[in-house]
Amino acid sequence: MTKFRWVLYGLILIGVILAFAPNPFSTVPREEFGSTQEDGALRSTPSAPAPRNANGDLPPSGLSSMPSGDTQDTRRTAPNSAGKVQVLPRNDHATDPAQVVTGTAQIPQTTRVRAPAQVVRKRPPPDLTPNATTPPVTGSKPGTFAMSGKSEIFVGTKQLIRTPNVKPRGRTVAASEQRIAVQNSLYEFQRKNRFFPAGENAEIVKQLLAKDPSATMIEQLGGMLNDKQELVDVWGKPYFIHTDINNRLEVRSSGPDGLLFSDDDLYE
Amino acid sequence: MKRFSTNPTRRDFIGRMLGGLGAAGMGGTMAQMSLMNQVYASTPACSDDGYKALVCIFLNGGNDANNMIVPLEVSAGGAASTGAGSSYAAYQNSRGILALPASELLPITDKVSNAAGGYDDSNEWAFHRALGDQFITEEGVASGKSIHSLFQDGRAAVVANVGTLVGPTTQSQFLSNGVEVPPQLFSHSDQSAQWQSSLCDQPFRTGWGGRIADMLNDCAGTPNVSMAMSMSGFGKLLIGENPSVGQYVANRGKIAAFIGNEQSLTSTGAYTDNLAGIMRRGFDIEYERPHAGILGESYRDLFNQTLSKTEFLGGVIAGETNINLFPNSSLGNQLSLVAKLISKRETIGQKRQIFFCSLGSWDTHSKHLESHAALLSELSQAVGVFYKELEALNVEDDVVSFTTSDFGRTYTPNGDDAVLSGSDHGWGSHALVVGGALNGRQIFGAMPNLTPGGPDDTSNDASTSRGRWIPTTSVDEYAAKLASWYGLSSEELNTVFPNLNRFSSTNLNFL
Repeated sequence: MTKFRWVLYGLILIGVILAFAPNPFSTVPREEFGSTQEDGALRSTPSAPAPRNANGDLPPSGLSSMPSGDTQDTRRTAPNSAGKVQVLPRNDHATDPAQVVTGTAQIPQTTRVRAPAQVVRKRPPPDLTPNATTPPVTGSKPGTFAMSGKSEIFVGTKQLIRTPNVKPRGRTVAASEQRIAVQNSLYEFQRKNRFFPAGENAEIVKQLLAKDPSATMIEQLGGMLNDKQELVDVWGKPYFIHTDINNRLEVRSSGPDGLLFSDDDLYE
Repeated sequence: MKRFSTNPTRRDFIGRMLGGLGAAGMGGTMAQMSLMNQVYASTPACSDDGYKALVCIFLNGGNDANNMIVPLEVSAGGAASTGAGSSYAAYQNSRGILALPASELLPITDKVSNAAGGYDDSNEWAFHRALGDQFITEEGVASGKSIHSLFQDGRAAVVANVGTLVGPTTQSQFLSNGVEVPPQLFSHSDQSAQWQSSLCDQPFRTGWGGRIADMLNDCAGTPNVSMAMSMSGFGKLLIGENPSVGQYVANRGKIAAFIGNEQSLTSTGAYTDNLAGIMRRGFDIEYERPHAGILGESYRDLFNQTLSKTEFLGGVIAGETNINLFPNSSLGNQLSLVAKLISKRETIGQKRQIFFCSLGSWDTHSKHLESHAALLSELSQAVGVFYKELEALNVEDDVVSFTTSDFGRTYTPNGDDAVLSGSDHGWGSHALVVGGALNGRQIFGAMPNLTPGGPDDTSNDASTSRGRWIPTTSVDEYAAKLASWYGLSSEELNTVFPNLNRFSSTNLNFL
């Protein structure tokens, strides 16, 4: 009975190994298929393109190297680990002609190339130096103003920095961006702490900083606080911050006219 | 008898261990049962003293009670004192654009106890003019009273500066974080839940109305339907521990009667072809289809109970009309149904009833003056007709209506525009109590010092303070007074309101 139990264990172990180990009988090198999963659907992506030569040229395409008169073979081929050409299953997503090769042409060994990581351009930290002026972020459209974090600095409401060369419409765009930034900070607070801060504007700021006294939070808020430690909009007016009975957050700017609950308020 | 072995086998060891676990579990269970028995063992006081009902009117959003009752001194000759140095002038100065004109206020004459043990009349306060509104029918007939007239007649009272508290709190304690305060002050959802549970230092589990219903169900309840009935959705106030006393919920003051037999079944028992019959057939199919597992079975039982109760209540009040015409407003419809259920209490079989009604839109951050006036008018009209209806049913002394709200509001406005601006979230607020059994025409509790930055404010900086009053009467004390009148003994009060012993407010004898 004991021997039978060990045989059973061994069979189970072999089954597990076979389930997770690479298939030694597959003719398709795994490296040739990069797979990505989007929305639960598996799709195969073509391998990375063949490396360029010293002149920066791609190796000759399979189509141009085909003998004239031959029927164009559009099937994808790629070398296996032994360097021999093999026909890959038809893959409608493969569009790179560099992958179509025939015959015994020198086939570069393709290697899996990881796609370059996306570069996230971070917003520069606000410059807290009074009276700091900075030109608009390059590349922005004329008449618009990208939120650079440097040109809208408030160190006390009396030191409101204006940018006379910015059109009113651009200022509203900046105000809207800033309002969204405040809103996102509150959502982040709620995500971490499972509740929104409540109370007056200054009390909310105090709670934000108490829970997250990181340099990032202080930097983000440092450019948007007045001398009463209230979060203010681009016009220097304190935000109206409110959470209703259903925990829906409202961050409202009184807008250009400075009157809360008037028609030009910025809110969602 | 098998001797205890000092060298037990594996089987002996496992058996003894399981036996020990079972004993421990049994001990814990017995302790819990003992606690439960303390709650349910004593004979409730409601067995012999007739009928009583509580009607909660929850003002959703935070009522600005600073404009509901306003300081206004009126001389014996009827002249209002509004000059510099008067209490009204201070009110007007602090409230700014939210201040109500003195000419639009309704002075009240409240009773103040004197040294001789009696009462003197006092004329230092006034109601918002909208509390003088009574419902007028299309024919021009006054169908009810107003809250102002009820107060002057001694049928209403004000309980001042009630709010959620963990313990008695002074300004210095609040500012120095010297005492625990309710978590998430100024948050609608949290304060609303704490008002309805009264237990501010615990996560919400039960409402104090539900705990009262649990306590009195044996003597005053009926298996037909719970004594706790909500006219406005699922009320936290009425959530209790006992599932058999689970609140009945009527949607927006209406109980569906379409599944009554006359509407949904023919004389031969077949389903009718109208909407009622179709709905009835759908409900029956839902009940009869198999539901997997304990959860599914519980759902089916609950579904069936709800239908049964709806059918029962719908049959009881089918065709019933109020004696007086109620206003066709949200609160009017809810109180109309409450009145019908009260009129049918004997048919239902209840000696005690707790109703939950609610009225929304009190969160007047903007357009406060206009909105608040409309809400107070709706409140006054509906409550006025409701009281008149109770008089016609001869139960006005057996029913007490009372208001609750998330919190009060700031004394100072949030803007400079009289039309657009409003007030923001506060803390302590004034409540209204209406009923024939009241020691009415009085202001109970302790009115706060209405000075922003003053001793009763959450801030002592007059330049920045918004005037959020620290409550002087806790929700526990306010609710316990109602529950005591309702029939709970002092021991039962301490069970339903375990934090009650922390407070010792005086001047709360409104019942």
